[in-house]
Amino acid sequence: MAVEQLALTVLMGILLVAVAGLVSRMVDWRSYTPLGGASAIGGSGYGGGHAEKPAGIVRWFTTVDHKDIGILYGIYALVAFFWGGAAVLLMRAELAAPGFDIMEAAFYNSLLTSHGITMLFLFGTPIIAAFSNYFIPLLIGADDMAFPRINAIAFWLLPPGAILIWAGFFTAPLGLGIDPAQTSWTMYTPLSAEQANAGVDLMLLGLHLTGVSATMGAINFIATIFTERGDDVNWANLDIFSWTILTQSALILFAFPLLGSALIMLLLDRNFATTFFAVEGGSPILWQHLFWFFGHPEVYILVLPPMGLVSWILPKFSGRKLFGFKFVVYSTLAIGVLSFGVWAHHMFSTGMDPRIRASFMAVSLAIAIPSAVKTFNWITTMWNGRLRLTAPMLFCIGFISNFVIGGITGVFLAAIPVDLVLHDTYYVVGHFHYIVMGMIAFAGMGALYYWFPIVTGRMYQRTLAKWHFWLSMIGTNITFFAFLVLGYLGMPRRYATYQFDGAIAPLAQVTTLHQISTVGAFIIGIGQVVWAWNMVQSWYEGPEVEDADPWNLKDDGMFGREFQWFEAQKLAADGGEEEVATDGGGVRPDGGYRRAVRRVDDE
Amino acid sequence: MAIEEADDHGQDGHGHHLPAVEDWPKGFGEASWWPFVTALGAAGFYIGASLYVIATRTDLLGVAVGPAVFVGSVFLFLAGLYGWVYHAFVKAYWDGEGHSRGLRFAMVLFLGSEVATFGAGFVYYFFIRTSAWENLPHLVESGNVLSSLVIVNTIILVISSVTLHYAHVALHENNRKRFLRLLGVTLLLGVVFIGGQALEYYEFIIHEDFTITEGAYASAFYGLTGLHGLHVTLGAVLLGIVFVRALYGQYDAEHDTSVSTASMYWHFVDAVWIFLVVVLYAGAIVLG
Amino acid sequence: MVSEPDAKTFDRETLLDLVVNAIPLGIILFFILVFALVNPFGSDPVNTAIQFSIMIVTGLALLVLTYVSGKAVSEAEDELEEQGLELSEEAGADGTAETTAPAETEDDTA
Repeated sequence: MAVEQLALTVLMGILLVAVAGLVSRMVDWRSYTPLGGASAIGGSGYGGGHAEKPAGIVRWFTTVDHKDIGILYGIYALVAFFWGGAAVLLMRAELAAPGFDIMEAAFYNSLLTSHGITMLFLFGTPIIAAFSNYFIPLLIGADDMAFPRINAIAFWLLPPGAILIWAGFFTAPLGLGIDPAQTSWTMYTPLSAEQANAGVDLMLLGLHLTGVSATMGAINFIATIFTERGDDVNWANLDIFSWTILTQSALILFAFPLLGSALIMLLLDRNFATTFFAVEGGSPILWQHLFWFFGHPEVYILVLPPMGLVSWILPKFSGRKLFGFKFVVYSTLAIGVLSFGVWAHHMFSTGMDPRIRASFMAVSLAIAIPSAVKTFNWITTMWNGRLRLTAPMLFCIGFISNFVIGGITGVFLAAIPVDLVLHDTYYVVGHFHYIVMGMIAFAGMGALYYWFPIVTGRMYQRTLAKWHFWLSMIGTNITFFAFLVLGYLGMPRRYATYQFDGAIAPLAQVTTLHQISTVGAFIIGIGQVVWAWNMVQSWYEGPEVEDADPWNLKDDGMFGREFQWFEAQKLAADGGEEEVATDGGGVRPDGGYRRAVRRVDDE
Repeated sequence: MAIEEADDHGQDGHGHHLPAVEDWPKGFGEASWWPFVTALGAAGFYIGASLYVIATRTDLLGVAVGPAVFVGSVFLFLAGLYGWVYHAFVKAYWDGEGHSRGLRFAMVLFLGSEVATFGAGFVYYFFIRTSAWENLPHLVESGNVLSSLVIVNTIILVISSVTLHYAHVALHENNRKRFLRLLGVTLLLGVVFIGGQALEYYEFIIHEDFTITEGAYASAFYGLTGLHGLHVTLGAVLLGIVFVRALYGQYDAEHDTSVSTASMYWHFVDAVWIFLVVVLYAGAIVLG
Repeated sequence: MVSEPDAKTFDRETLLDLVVNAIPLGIILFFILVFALVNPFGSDPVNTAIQFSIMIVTGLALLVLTYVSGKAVSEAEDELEEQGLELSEEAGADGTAETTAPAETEDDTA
């Protein structure tokens, strides 16, 4: 048992080191310079402030450039993604058969906890921060973030946070008595308060640190979007991604500090015999209230920016403007507000007052509308559009498709009677995995492909990208659809084994479904390996992007602000000519008002 | 602290002589080691706390190691902060660069997040007030928790808010002497308040035998007053920085960003205290 | 009840856009009415107060935010129109290399 744990931990360690090694090679310290970074760009906004950079690895430790910090966030998030992915593949392997075959329950619990915490806090939030750091200033015409150094500090708090969260895995094989936490990501008391293992404390401290980082980032984004917009950007033409980041940051502002306080209270309970979540004090239910008052907004913290990404990217490959742009904006804001009034729908089965429970059901049902509005907006955007099925577009369409399933299963869970039956089953797990994997990760992948040319100056391999998409899409649907069915059969979530009495559920069917979803999980895993190879290889050797419009967006008048910046960078790097009139007469349906100004002036 | 930020651009077109004009390292535009150092220091707090917990739960290391790391991190953090603040604010002040709107806005946002931070503690208190209001400590049953010390301390903190406000007014009227004097008085009152809190803790713990482990009310009491005390301390540090900068001749009617951000913070902390006294001290003994 | 405060503040177009948030508001309102009329669990001051305040507070917050954001957006639109500019849904796709605004070094300070 100890030997197995040791072997598995070493395996995960090796994987982590390998990924870190690959990634560090990907970011070739010596030769990589962001586009135009080294060239004199003169008067054109960007680059001026960040033209000079230290060489080598020092550059990455000292950078305050939002683009560099965005890259750092991205790499951090992807390392975490592979950690969380490795954890879940081990779990799925264990669940391929009913008994304990490859690990003990304790190790399974540790993986379960680490998978959840890692994917939500160390992958989800940072990958969004990666895109918003790199692109929000470009999209709103700002020089940089409002507070570049706060930005750098916020990032550098994350690696120590991850080390603390994962610490138990490194120390467990040494036999020091510090094991990984087995609390699940919800850290419910009294379980989390009573586990004597110091690994739990380390995880709580690490989580607090990442929460501080997220809050700093949120303040920075709100301040940036409010005070640093270019002169030609106001509330009427602010892009959709910035709107979602603004809403998300407002949610972070109230959600994360509250979690921070709750974590500190839990730490005090664990170490200083306080009674915050003890039965004779605030009671374990208080933890659930505080945790979910954070936790439900957290869901939208993770999902709103991906919705913004898809709303931004989908029209580019549909040849049409986003249908009902304002609907998307207002419904985003509506989700932001309503998300603070629904938290107890995670607690329907705790025996709370039925009147209060009914109210939370009412608001939970109401919040489904703004999300559904968006879905219809995306579908109508594609309707009669000239679709181009590039990898980013495929991921956007996959996102919508997965959201239909993930969203509708969620509406059922909002209804109390249904929830009481399905609570704590695989149905719930299936529902939110359609959201977090099927939506959040898909939008992240789509955006990675869409902006890959800007960040690296190169193009990825399109065939591999399509393999990546189809493996992810098929794998996701196999895995999580099986989860939904398992949930209907009553398979409880979080269990390390399912060797139960056949009278409870048909064991043979449950086993088969578990095996199906294990296969699906490995298909997803293979897809991500393809993707990692594609990213690394293309960053090194991919064909350089010659044209600043790799997606032919100009044809549809969809040449977004970030690509305009890219074009300016390329022109500056090529000839130093500052103002080059491009296709002056091109027709541009959403061609911006500045073009219109010129037209007015001409007349 | 987390809300102030700035940059320096390596210019030295000012007439003042400062000990260090260039950021560190020199000559790399906006690159700076300070954010990294500050973050490392901040992370050190958590690592120190972790080591302390490990020491109490296993016998791997001495109990003193954690606190030692913690104290070391304080120095690292302060060094990072000093470099950052110095180059971002002090030097930038003379350079005449400013973006006060963003900073004030960020302070408002930060205070919004503070509402959530305090919110969790108050929610706990309301929980126990409504459903676990038993086994009360002697202090609460006798009503002695609301002592004259608390009332005096409250008055001191309220007065400090008033003096800070008039210090700011004086600055706007370019009455420098009055500004400095009132700012100094505010700082002094803040320090007296912290001293008063320390005295109260001492009285309660040593003489009244009322410690943090004394049950549900004690958790709320020490949790909330402790959190608030940390905030007052941070506020005093901020005011101290402002005061020292003012002594060096910074600030006037048009350049008062950090005066106004620090005073927003101070007023906020003051307001929280009043709420806290009403709810936690007075609220505990009425209708008891 | 719905998010249309008064016709002078918002033009027809904006009102139409804001209708999207009227639907969740309508759902909340529906449940407020239902719970007021049908009350199988009986009343008790604290829990009933919490029950209704959850819905009312969330609904009001949504109403206020919709109003404020609608106002901000429609004012911003007027601003653009006054300058004789065409509205672009997506900020500034303006198609030339000169977009990047002159660099104002406006970080920080004092």
